[in-house]
Amino acid sequence: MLGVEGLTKSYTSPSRRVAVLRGVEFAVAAGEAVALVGESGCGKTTLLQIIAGLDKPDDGKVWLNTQEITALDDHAAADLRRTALGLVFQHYNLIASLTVADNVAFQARLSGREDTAWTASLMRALGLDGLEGRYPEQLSGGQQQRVAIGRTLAYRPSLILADEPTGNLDEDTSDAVLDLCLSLVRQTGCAFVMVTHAPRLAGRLDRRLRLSAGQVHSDAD
Amino acid sequence: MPTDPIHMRWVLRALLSHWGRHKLQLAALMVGLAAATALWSGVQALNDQARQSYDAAAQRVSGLSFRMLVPTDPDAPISEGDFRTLRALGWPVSPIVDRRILIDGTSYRLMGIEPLTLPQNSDMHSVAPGAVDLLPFIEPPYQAVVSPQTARRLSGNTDLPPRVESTALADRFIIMDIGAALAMPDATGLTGLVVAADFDANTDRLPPNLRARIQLLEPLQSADIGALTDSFHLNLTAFGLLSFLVGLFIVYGAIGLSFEDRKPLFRTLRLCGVSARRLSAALIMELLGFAVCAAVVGMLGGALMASVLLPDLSLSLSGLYGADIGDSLRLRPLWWVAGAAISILGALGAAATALWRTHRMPVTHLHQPRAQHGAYARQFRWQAAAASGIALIGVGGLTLWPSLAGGFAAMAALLVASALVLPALLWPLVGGLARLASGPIARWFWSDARSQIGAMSLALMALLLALGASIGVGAMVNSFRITFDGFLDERLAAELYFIAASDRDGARLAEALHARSDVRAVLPDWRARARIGGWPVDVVAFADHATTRETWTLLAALATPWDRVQAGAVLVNEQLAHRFSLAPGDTVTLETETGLQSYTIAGVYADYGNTTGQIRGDVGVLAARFPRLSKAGFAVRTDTPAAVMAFLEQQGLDPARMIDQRQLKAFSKSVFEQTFVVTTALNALTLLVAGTALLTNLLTLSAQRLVSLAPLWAMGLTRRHLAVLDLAKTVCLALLTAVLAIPLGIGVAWLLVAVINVEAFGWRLPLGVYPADWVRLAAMVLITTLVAGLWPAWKLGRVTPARLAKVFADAR
Repeated sequence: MLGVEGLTKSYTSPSRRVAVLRGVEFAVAAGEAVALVGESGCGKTTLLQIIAGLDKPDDGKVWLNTQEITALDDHAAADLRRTALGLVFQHYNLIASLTVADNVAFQARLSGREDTAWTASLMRALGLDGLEGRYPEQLSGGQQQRVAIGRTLAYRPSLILADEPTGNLDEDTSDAVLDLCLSLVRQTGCAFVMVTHAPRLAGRLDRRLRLSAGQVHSDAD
Repeated sequence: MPTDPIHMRWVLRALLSHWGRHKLQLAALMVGLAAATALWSGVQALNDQARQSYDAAAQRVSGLSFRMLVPTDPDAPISEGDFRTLRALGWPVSPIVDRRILIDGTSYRLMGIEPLTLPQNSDMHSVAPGAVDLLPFIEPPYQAVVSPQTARRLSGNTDLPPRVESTALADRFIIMDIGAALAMPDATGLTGLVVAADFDANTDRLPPNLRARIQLLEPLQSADIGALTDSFHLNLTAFGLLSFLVGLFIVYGAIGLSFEDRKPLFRTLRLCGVSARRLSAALIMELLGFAVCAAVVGMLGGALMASVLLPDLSLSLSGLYGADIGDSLRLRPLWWVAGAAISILGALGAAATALWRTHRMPVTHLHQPRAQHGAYARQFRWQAAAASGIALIGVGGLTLWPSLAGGFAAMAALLVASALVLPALLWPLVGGLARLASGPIARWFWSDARSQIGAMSLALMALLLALGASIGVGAMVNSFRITFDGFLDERLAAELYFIAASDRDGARLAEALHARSDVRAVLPDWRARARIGGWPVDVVAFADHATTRETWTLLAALATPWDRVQAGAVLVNEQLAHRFSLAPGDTVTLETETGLQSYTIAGVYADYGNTTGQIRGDVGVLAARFPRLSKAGFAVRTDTPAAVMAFLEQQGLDPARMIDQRQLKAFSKSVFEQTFVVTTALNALTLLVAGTALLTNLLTLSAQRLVSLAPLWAMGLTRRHLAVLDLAKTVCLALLTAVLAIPLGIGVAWLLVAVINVEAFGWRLPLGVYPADWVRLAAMVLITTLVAGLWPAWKLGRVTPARLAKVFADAR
């Protein structure tokens, strides 16, 4: 499913060059839920952005099934995000001017894969029933994150990349959102990679990958 | 892995959903674009209408003026015998009747021609009989060639020959065979004999009995009205362009703000799989949609504006150049296409920077904070540097390329450079006021005002341009008005002017006037034509008299100029001096019918409004050197002009040949005032657009203002107090801009008066400074700003505490 090979990435700060990723390698199978943990600033978000085709590595490759994501130009990477990848972020990234129902259906509509029955079942599963006509600003943080997750799952991506999706939520809400996320991931059979700072949440996923000193170590190592 | 095609309508829907929740931004965008389109297309409609009229006039025959032999004494007309004699002598002449007739109370110009002898190269030959068959034209019952409009007017008339329509003729103009014309009731014989334009018609070669009775009249110069009015239309176009640019400032501001507000949306779209290219395409499609809608509204507004201004423009052009452009607007399809194109190009131009930034911005860094103090200061320094470069280019261009286009280019450079440098000037100015302020509120007031300069800079630039143009045009008009009034008093010093039917008649009337005790002087105003370097020049002969010596002001002169004129020197008008770079002391050489004549220039005089060169000399000198000087014109000094006019009428002078000085002055002044009506209207509209820019800017910024104001509210200032402070801050920034607009306005006025006017018309006005106008304008700025700021301030005063408290929640 997802393969990461020898990924390196450096940034140039005003005073020096900082190597964030130094030959990162790992793989995630279909249906597997993996937590990516590490200290703040260790490069977790950078790694996730490279996997999503939002950023380019200095070296190395990222594969999604048979497609090399790192070789895609902006246009092709956007096509891939639209059809195969689902992204969930700490700040939700909802469209403020669209209603909850439109936000959930948005990416599925964009790729021409809207399935109204599936969307309706997602809305029920996410506890968004009765909130369809509301705008994001009228929702709580937990509700907004559920809308973001619904938007990602509505078009059944092969891989979901979540960057601290519960970072803005309290503990109870975080648990509820993750429960929901994992149940829907199992239901759809997609792969799931989640960046988190919370060991408690990371421990609930199938596997933990620790990013440290620019390299990934599996908790199985 | 195959990918599904993207469904762009959902991208568009997401983009458009922004406007539903930001209606004021949408209104600002549409108002700006529609106003810009309206002002530009309105001016273009006026120009287009005028040009169509000039073209039509050039193709019609209405004011035909021929090279003709006419009798020296109107009581002794040219006979058919004279015609035969001249033909026998080999002169290519053709008899003509040219007079006015009244039919059912309407005056018509009747022209009788003899088509067989009519010179082939005369203008008239292309009109008739070419427009009709020859035989029916020259044989009874004859034919009357008229325009379709005249044919309709005369549909019931039985006195005239059968009508034949020709679109080449102007309305109320009738051409027929000379036999038919002489058979008309009240026919008075031949008016004269048309002479071929290329024939050497030196009357000195005629037999003595003819030479004494006949004089050659050269045709009036048929000036190309289009060329004459080019400068006028260029002025209008420049104003239209300025208004358009001021309108685009609103569009630029609204688009910039909408793009800034939608950055999170752009990021989400990119994350959802919309590539930068597709996002840009969607944004352009959205923009095109708005531009087309705004174009329709703007062009309807432009058509309305043009219809309202057309009667004034018509009067101006008629008074200035004798051009008739009609009072009803005709809009060509091309005008609509051009208007839509300018709206679309304007929208794309205003959005270009924002589009480019959005396209280039990496998706991982879309959440950039708005520019802060340091960034603004850097940006303003760059703008100031760019302004310096543009100003240098303008000055350099004007120096190397002193022309009308160079003048307008320098004007554009001045305006753009001033607009760019404005924030860089306001920044330290307001910063200084903040440092001088005592007390926490006053200090916050000025600091906050400075932090607002960046966000308000576009609206303030628009205001600066509108005010600068207003001050500049106002100074030019005032200078013109004062100079023109004085000029009229000098030039029309005599109480009465008349032109007799012939030289002999003129001499008779002058002699009769000399005998009257109420006539102080009868001064010759005799005229001839000559050329300098192929350029036609009017030659005017005048008598030395206190009327000229004591009233005329010369722009430049040698010592004792009037004595020098008496001794054989001449005065030249400013247009002639400018065209040939002549100055007092230089020698001017005239090409005359008797050969080259050279004169020393004793002085240069102002001749505002005249489009041709003129040279004035002593009547004794010029009468001796110009044998064909027309001696029919006179100026009369009298305290009883009405009695003198009555006397002249009793003496047989047609009242149409007399001009009362007071009436002429009043007419000239009304023409002058009319000339600037359109400019003044455009000026006011530009100021209105600038006010709208300020209003839309304040409204769109009002949500952001809460972030700055909420902490003060939390510290105990009431919402009302905050609203008043916010309004006062807007007024202060606008007034500071108005102060900075004064030097800009003086620069604009100088360019108009010293460069553009000189290149366009050949004369220069003394530039005046009118502080009273500045005070009036400052009052207008105050009112405009108060009106523009009142609504946003009122909204701020009524904002709910919950909304203010939310600012702190959002900050968390």
